[in-house]
Amino acid sequence: METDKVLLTIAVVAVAVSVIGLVFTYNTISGFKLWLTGLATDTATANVTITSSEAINFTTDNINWGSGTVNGGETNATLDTASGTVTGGTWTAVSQGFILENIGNVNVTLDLATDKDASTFIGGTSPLYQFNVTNNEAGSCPSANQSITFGAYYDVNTTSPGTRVCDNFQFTDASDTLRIDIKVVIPADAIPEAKGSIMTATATAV
Amino acid sequence: MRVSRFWRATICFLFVLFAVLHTPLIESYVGVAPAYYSIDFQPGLVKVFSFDFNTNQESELEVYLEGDLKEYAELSTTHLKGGGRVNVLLKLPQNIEKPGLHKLFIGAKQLTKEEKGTIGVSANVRAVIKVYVPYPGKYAELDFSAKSANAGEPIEFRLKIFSRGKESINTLSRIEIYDFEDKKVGELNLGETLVEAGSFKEIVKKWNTEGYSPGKYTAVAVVRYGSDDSQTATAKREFRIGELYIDIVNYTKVLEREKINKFEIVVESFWNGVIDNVFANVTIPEYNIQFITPSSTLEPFEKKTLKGYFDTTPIDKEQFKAKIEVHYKGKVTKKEALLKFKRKIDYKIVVGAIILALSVLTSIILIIILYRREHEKKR
Repeated sequence: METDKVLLTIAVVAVAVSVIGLVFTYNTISGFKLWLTGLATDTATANVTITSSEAINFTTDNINWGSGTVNGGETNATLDTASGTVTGGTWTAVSQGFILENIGNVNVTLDLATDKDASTFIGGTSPLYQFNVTNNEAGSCPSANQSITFGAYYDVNTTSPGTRVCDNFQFTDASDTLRIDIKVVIPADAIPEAKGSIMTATATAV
Repeated sequence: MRVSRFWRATICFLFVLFAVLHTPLIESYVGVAPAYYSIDFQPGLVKVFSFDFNTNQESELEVYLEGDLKEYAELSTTHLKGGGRVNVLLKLPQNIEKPGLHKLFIGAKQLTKEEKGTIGVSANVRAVIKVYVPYPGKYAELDFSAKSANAGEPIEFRLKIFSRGKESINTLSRIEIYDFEDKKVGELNLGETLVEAGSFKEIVKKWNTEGYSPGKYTAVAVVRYGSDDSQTATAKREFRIGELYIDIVNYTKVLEREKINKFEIVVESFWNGVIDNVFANVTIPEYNIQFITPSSTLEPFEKKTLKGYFDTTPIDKEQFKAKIEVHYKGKVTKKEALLKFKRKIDYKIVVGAIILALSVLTSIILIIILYRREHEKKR
């Protein structure tokens, strides 16, 4: 009987020690898990900040009708890049307007101004110097953000920053290009000389 | 495995071609990074903001300041060649009376030499330093958007509530929806939101359009942020419930005789999606004339002009009927049009009439002269 009790006690103690040992062993193995298997259990974060950038680019930046005269008997000649025509004069037709692309990563407002108006650029009786804007890629300036009627002609504006044409010129690649066409009416009594003008496009981050 | 010289060359060529095709054509550009900074007003704040401008290597840039708070800022330089960094030293005063958003623009403009005989361009970009001056007490500003969708699809509303006052605000918000007749057709309750002073919270909610007709709608976000009735901010946005339909809005009505005429048809999409392969088929049945315009793609809700050409030589009437059919996605929109010719002035008739009038006048004058001479002789 005494022996049985001793044996039972030893058995209980042995079980207890085994359980404690099991706990210790498990914890120790957990610590070596990484070392043994390469399993990553920690978490890491990667942070990246994309800086906003604003940029506009004229891919077509020059309109040159060359030399010419108003046809005899006509009061004026009309040169228009939108229709690609010259009527009433001998200049070479130009069918490509300015192409302006938003190559940044933010939407911008767009204003257009020129350094001269019709009188100072062309002169003569009733000259005309106008521009019109269209989406070269659909949706580049959504209709809700167009500050002028796209496709309609407007007199140029010499007061900086100029005429607001779009409140939200998009930057997404498939819809980020506008076309700016120019129409000039040259009167027969305009002074004959080589005439030049600069159009400035001002983009401001929205 | 050795790669033959041919394949190495081919791979190099393809890389170069890829690089060239994916390089934007840079003719005349100006850019700046970052495009803007946003800060809250702090009395007496002194801070430097850096902007990196870039342009064509040979371009010169004039750097300038514009807008609000210009008098509190200084530039590190007013001229750059081929781009560079500009530092803006901003020294804010102790107090700015007018609350709200103040914008200071830092611009760089290309200095372009005028070339005689051409119209040239100059690119000009303006970066912004946005300074928010808090309103006294409680004040909220909203940024609200509504995304159009097609009939049966949900409309997504996004409402950002900015706490622009010196105190935090506990807001109660809703969105009211009105149809094109300004009749209220729906309302979404957005519940209560606490917004700490100087921060914002965004609420996104979707509206089920089932049972609502396609067309133009207006959503009005109403946010109450204080106990006073005047402490309510609102924002309005238009949106559309689309339908697969293209309308014929306008077309060429006056043509010229005996020549090839351009015929334009203005179409408008009522669909909130891209519609490819849209074209018009125009017939003039009386003269057996028919032509088709080139295919076009319409973006969501886009208005576009389709163009075709035809010869009016066989047409002898002043006015005649045409049938316009616009085809898209297996559907057709039809319209009957009445076209006419531009009145041509016959100069021969005009000249003839003038000569006749002059002849009659001359005859009358001669008769008067002869009569007076006869009369004097008799006397």
